[in-house]
Amino acid sequence: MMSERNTEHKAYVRRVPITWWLHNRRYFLFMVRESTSVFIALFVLGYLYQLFLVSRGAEVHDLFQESLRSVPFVVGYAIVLLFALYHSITWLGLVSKIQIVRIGRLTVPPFLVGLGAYLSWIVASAVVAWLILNLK
Amino acid sequence: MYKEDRTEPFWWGMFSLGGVVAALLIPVHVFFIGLAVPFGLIDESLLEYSRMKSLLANPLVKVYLFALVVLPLFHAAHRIRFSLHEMGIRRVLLSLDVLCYGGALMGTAVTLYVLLVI
Repeated sequence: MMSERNTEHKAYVRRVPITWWLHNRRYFLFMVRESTSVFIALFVLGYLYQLFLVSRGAEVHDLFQESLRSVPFVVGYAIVLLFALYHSITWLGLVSKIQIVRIGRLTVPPFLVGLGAYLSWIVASAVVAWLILNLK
Repeated sequence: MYKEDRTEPFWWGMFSLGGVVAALLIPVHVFFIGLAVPFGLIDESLLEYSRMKSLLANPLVKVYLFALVVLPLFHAAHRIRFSLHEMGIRRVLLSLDVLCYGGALMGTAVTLYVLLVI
């Protein structure tokens, strides 16, 4: 009687240098796109800290608010904004490639789907801006 | 043998939701919170304590801020996990799943706490 063979095999994983993404422009841009999430996470955590300071009283909150006007913070926010914009542009640009929109028997052209995604970004930004400026 | 991970759809769903929130809402917030006041584009009283305190008294504002903070954390957790994996890093003391998704879950708990105490 034949003994039962172990048919499980370890998957072959090709070893690649950690810097593989620096060797090709497309790979580099892919990694830049992935890294946008780090800057966005840092921003929301910093914003959470600002919100937390509201619970510590007016003096602490306004002092921190004042420090946000220093050059290092302004440069930091400018960098975060660049990465956040890159995320928005690439993310919304993907919508027309992955989302097929059908209305009845009509398939909406990908160009219009993409346009809708970018328009929704503009509308959402305008609404938030209005609320920040006017909400009481 | 391939083992089905039943939690995977949840993490992908949170990644997508966070990506949409980050794409639509984060740039405008970064601009107003970090750049508009230093460049003199808006009145600094808009971000001062008394206004923030009265805005945060509104439960709808808290729900909005919860989504604004938490969903991008899940988005980032997912992207960081896969980016590190693609760079050949499989674990840093703990598995990447625990570190990244655990971090996002911890961020959720901290956000809940902050929004409840203010």
